[in-house]
Amino acid sequence: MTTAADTLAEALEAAGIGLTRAVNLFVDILPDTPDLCVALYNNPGVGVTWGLAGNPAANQVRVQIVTRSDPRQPAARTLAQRIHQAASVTDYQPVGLNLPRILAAMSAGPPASIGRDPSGRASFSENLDVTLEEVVLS
Amino acid sequence: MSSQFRVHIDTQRFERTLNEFADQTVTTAGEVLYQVAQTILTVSQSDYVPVVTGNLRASGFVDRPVRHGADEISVEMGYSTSYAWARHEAPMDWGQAGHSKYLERAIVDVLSDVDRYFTEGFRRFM
Repeated sequence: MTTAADTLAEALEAAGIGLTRAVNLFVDILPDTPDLCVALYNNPGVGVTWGLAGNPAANQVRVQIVTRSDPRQPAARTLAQRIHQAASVTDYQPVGLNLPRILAAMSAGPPASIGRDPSGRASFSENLDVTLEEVVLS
Repeated sequence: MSSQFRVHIDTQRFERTLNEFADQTVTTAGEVLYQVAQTILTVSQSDYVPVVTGNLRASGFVDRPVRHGADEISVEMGYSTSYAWARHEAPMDWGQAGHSKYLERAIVDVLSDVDRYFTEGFRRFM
């Protein structure tokens, strides 16, 4: 099943900030390696709102972005800030098949430290309110 | 032959009543919002917040409504321990006890029924 995080991952890959899916960019999982990597997690949001006056029906969900790096490097903060600048997109039409179209992705706030993971690696978190186009079958 | 009638309507009292009604509506919305926030905190504390020492769960708070100008009112709620944010955002992969997103999950649960809260709340307060 394709998700908001999958579409956002495609948008971040295309943003030219050094992220590649399944190399250092993951969806719904944060693998133990590499140290410097990013995970996007799908979370529920407000849900489906029906379109009025010609606007499309929309489904609002939340995507959490967790950025992690080796404790000796400030790399996680730098990368988290780059992602913050790239992740708020408007009307992103994905290239990938069956990916949902993002009408808007808005950051709920800048990335903030969540301390260190069990292996001592610095980590940052940011959340996005993502509005997806809801495909209505008739 | 013609007649002329003049009618004078004093709208000041009508306007005053409307303004009082608008003001009461915002105040009522604040009270309903306060109750919704308390419900969210209860759901969060009973279903989601991780409990190791109990300090995080005990730090949950809901402040009274704060008015911002004529037509806006807000309620602040959350958990006040220094580690509340980090624990809330910790990915499940970290393997910590209990749920992450322990407040966000409760908000989503309660917001799915928020129309009913406001309908019943306005009936009760107005």
